[in-house]
Amino acid sequence: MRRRGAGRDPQRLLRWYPRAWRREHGAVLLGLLAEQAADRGRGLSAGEAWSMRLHGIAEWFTPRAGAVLAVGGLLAGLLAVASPFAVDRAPEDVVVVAAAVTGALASALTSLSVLTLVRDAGWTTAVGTVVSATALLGAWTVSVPAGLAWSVGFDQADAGLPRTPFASAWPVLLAVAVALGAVALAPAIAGGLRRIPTTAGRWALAVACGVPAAVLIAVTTVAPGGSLLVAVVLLVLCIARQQPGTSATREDHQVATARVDPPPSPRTGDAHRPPPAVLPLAVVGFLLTTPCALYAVLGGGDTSWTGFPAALEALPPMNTGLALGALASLPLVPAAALLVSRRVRRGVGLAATLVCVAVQGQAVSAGMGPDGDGGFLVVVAAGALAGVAVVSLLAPRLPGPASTRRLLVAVIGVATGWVVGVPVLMVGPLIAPFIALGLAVHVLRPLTRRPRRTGQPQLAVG
Amino acid sequence: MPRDLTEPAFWVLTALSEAPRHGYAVLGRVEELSAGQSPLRVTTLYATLERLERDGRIRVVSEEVVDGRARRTYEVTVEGRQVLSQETERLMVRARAARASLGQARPVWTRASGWAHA
Repeated sequence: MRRRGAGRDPQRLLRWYPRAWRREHGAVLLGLLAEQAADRGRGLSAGEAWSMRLHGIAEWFTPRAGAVLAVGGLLAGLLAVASPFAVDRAPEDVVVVAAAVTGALASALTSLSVLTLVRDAGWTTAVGTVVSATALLGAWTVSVPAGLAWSVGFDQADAGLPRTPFASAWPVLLAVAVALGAVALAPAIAGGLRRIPTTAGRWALAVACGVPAAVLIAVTTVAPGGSLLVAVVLLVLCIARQQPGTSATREDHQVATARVDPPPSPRTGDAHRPPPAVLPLAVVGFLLTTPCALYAVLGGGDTSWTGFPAALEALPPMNTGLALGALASLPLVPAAALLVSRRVRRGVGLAATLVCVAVQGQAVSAGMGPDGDGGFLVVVAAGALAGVAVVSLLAPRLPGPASTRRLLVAVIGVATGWVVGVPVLMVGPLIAPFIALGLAVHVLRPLTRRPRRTGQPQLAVG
Repeated sequence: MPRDLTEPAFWVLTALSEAPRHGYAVLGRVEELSAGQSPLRVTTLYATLERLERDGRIRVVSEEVVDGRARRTYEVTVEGRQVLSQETERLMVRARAARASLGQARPVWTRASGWAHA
């Protein structure tokens, strides 16, 4: 038989908190509770025990957990994107259900990742965090049958069949999902509206904003690419929000803060000045990419004024312009890398080389023409390579040992390449002249800027 | 950008701005200062102390073991004083506005309390 009051034992209740938190704060919290118990002559009430449980759960929502949730969301999102490709190898119904479940899982994990940042910003209380997390899980769980019911109903209506009760239930299921979503959003919104003096007004506005916000989120997550992009952004934000040594002990913090950092070296004017090779590379890139972009866009008409060889007019103009434009934009890669190298010390050369390979991949893909088999696969591979190259520059800021960081770079890089890299590579030859102009303006701007006044008094001479 | 102060954070900063205190002393002082209007649970107090410390508004002065119980003593930082001062000013602006509005109100008759300002 369970001992009465065992559920209110502070030692046992402390297990609801994460281990790292217990190591750093557990003894002090127990000491506080012991002092209170001695003073009052009784232990924790049922309400206080529940408060301890809720605070313990809320402590799990750290930016570190947010980063893990975002990676989980990313992987689930990739599965959701990939599942329709399995339609030839599995029954269609299974594929549809798998896509709905993985999509909802991706959205749930991503939403929980958002919640860690909201909590980190101090917008929700411990109770609000747990309520939001529970409602979020409920909302995304209900969204699966809601989406499937709508899909089944659409197919039945298309075939002229009467709707089954399940298919007819989609509005109710959607309403339940939206209501749960609004409940999940309300604590965070109310936390952000702290300036509104009355509690009732704050919560009324929070609920009023929560309903359309939940609908908006539900609509945007229909696009799988959007969910992946959100997960990538969240991962970066969560990593940036991680405080150094969160899992370290207090003594570690004191030692860390007591260490005296060397004074920063005085910044000279040369440190601010862009490398001299950037401007000529940008100018060359502009001169080479502009006729390519014009040829790609205006290729159907008289393009002799662009300077293109007439023999190329036998090829599809758009593809020829894009392929040559991709190759012409290669000088812009080292130009950008030189600028980045002022902030990032290591890995820029390798990343720039990989991006150059990716750009050449885009040139090959465009050169294969609109009917070329495998052109899209080449550009997808190129986009993934470019994504990994760019994300590798963030590797020193990622958590964990080297093997974990390499895995994270690969996962985040491929996802970033899919969401951002592929579209950028595909339109790259068209926007390359503008990128070249931007680089040139960025380089020339500091040269034309007036020197700042230091505010020091000028000594009279003579 | 400084965050708005929650009510528990306001009372904890107020209690600590008088003198450095350990957790349980803060709890008692908050109850006194708020005349029992804002009783804090230990869990809420500890979460508030942790957040204020993370935001650099208070800092740990010492850690000791008294009667076998771990104690952590906190003091308010310069930034914490500034935040509390800004919050106090904000509340005073509100209070002055409310007082001025009450002063301009016309007296009305109610059966229960006679003439009173509406």
